[in-house]
Amino acid sequence: MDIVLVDDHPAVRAGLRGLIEGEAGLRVAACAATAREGLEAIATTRPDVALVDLHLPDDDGLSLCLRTRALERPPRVIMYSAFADAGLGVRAAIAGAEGVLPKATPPQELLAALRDRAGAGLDVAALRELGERLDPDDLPILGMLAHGVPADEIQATLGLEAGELEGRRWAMLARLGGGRRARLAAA
Amino acid sequence: MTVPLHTRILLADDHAVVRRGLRLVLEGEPDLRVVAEAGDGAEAVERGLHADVDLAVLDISMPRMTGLQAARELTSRRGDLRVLILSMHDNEQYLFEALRAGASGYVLKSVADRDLVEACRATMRGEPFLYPGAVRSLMRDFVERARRGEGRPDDPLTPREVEIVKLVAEARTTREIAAELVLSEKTVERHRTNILAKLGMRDRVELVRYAIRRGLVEP
Repeated sequence: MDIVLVDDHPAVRAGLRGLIEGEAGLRVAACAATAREGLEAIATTRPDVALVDLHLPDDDGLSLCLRTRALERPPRVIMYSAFADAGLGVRAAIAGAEGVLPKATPPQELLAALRDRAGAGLDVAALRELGERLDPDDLPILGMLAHGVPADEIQATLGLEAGELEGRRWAMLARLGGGRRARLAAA
Repeated sequence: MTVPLHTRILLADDHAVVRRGLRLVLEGEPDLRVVAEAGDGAEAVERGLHADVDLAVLDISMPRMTGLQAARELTSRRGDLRVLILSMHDNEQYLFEALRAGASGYVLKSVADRDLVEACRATMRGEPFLYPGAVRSLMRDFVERARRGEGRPDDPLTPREVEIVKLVAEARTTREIAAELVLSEKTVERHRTNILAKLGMRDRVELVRYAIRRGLVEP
């Protein structure tokens, strides 16, 4: 299983690489320190999973996640963050991430999440709270994303044009303070 | 201080993955050896007090006790221990706090692979380690304070007390000092007591040494 690591701290990259390369069946395909390098690495190496830091120097990780998920045959994306709360879980779902792993996650759990699946459902209270801040028209999208419905199905269900869903997701992230890039996109 | 053959390092960070990464960075060097790890500040203090550690590398933000608190505690309880602060904050406020807490260097996590090894070596040579932006911040701060006519950053003594330290170190009597500064002898005595208390010193001999160190008088 090929993994791309995107984190601006070299000690984190080195630590993750050491951890992953000691595991049978897991391999680090590439490491990147910025969102721009990260997207490039993901597009070129076509990994199975991308582990993406929330805070990157040139952009935020959620924007990179959304961009990555818009690629053809995208990898699973797992957000990696020092500050993980229930609200971030919801925003990560909007960005198309499979889940959020706090940086304090013990190594064995981290490996298990990379192999199988990260995150166990979204926090209902956070979902409701963030949902209230969204345009009511976007709530069906949030609902489906929260339940892991693939993007093409959401698009078909709501009768959206190609690209329209992605635009709505950028706007949703922007409303929820999704990051520099998302705010620009919504402006 | 003579530089030991191997620098024995305590590595403290609350993230196991980061500790692992830092260990890889440090252990690639023949003169650096990680002998202990800690997952929070309190553990770091406990472990750092052992004599087998030469250098503590402390993450600035840790649970139970921050890296700054741990640095303060460690440097006050073990004068021979060197401390480096690792930080994600490229921010002068944290930098100043770290130096105040007794750290001899401040390394940004974003360039830890490049800077940490050099920082460890500089620290063990007894030299401070600062990244280029930090040096600029310190200089700017220094120049601004000088312009505003303030003393050294974090000077425990008031300008008046510094004057008195200088005169005491020049072996002037209380009467002479009182005359020179136009104060009563009683006031001069009171200042002296306060100065000794602030600096945690017992007598004139220690005060003279302090004055020399600060460059108030020639040795």
